[in-house]
Amino acid sequence: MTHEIDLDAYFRRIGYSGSREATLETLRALHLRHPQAIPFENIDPLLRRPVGVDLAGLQHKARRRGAWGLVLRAESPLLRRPDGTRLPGDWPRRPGPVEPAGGRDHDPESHAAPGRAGRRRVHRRCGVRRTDADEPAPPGAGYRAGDPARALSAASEERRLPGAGQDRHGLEDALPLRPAGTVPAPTTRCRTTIWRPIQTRTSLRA
Amino acid sequence: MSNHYLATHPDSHFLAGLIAARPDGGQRYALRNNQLAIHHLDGRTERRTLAGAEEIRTVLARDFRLPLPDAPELDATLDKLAASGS
Repeated sequence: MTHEIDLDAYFRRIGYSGSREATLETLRALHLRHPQAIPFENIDPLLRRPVGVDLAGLQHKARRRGAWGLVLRAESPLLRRPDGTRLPGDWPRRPGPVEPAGGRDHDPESHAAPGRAGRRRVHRRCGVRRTDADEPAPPGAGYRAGDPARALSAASEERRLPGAGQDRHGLEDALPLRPAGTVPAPTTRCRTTIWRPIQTRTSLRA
Repeated sequence: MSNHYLATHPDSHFLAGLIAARPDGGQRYALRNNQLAIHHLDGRTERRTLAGAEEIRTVLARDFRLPLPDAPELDATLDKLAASGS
């Protein structure tokens, strides 16, 4: 599959004129502008028209009609590393190392953090000790540090659009928007390496 | 594969009715056939029933910023949806 796509036309449509590097800021900006400029719609299926997924068809929809998430797919030429090399074909679903060098996200309220099952840890900032066996990892955990997949997750969490989260597609009008104040505020996340293994007697002897 | 069947299976709701959605700065537009809902940030929801194909076209173009295709069957389909939904 060729990766040639008219990004200029796409960016003009969504009103984006910033950097094209696969950075957190770029993905946040695209994640905000794309759904506001390109609606979700089903006119082609409604008219019994075939919905092509070839690049020409997708590009036409992105420039003219709806194409939800097109530019955020792995085959997009937008998704390049800062040095210009292309991200792997299975990005962003491929999980990375369990322990990223840059530390992990941490929810100070629940003290939830990914880790090896059964390891006892202490939170450097608040001193809470816990064993994190079988505890669910927070969104984005398991991906490489600095991976744009985290940017997507973070952008989804931080962008509180009206009606968002009401259903799978965010388009049903059957359920009313939750009243203001009942929507939980995004949690503040520590982005430093804050979890340290507790020094046990066994490990001290070793 | 699931996208293919969602777009082509006779029982798919994507073939049975019009669905459109677009978030904006302070509100979110949602259209189900001829039922328009505008959800606001403060929790209010405005609901309107669109009269026919012309009004649905207007809303799709103005509120959903959707350039509509030049399809002669579109107006007939929208009229049918408006008649069945009202």
